[in-house]
Amino acid sequence: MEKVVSEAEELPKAIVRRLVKEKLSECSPDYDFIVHKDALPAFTESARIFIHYLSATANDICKESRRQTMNAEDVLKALEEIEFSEFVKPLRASLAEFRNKNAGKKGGAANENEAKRTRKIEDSSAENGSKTKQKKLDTNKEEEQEEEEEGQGEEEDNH
Amino acid sequence: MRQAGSYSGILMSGKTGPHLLPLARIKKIMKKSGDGVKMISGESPIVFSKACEMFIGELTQRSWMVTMQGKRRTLNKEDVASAVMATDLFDFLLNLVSEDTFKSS
Repeated sequence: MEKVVSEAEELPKAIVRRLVKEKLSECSPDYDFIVHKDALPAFTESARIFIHYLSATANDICKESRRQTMNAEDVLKALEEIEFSEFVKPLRASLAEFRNKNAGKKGGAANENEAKRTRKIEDSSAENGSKTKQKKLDTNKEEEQEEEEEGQGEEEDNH
Repeated sequence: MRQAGSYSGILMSGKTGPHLLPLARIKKIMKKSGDGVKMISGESPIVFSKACEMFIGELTQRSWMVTMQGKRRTLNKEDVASAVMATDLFDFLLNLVSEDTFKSS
């Protein structure tokens, strides 16, 4: 029996499975737990509902501030509101790390992963150094943004 | 169950760095949350991705506790259902529990 939700997007099963298994290894390092295959949709669906719930809450918060674009802070406040406050601190840390990485990229900071992907950006960013200079180096910035399209920069204009 | 999505998920997650869940997919789900979730800043999906990971971890842990109590080593969907029902934090999932996803076939 399949539950085919034709309209809803789903998170990739393989990744959800991996997350569940990693957590299980953490919970039980001594012996292996098996995830029954029928349990996976339960996790995938639950995560999807979680995203809906969190989105709707964050969206309300965003609207209350009379902004159009939902930002990270809205999401963090929403987590507090839906009583997932214990997530907030580690998420802030993750976010700070992510922001540092991005700022570091432009400043040419030493970072193995970034060096691989952004060699040509580092060349131009050596001259760059700070966000405010990006207007002068429009073409370079455009290239950067194309590469970073997957949500690592600010795609929607909220400045 | 659609399998096709998994591949693109894995491929994309390779490019998206520290977060595992594909940002584009998360954005699509967010936009279907109804009531005008339209504009989303570049950072929001990243926060969502990580929050989702943590949520799945939390749900896994509580489900595992149910499995343990039953002295079993196979985590099944009934364990997830029990975890949801036993945890106030997961009240928003109660509707889901009554649906096919959680019911024994």
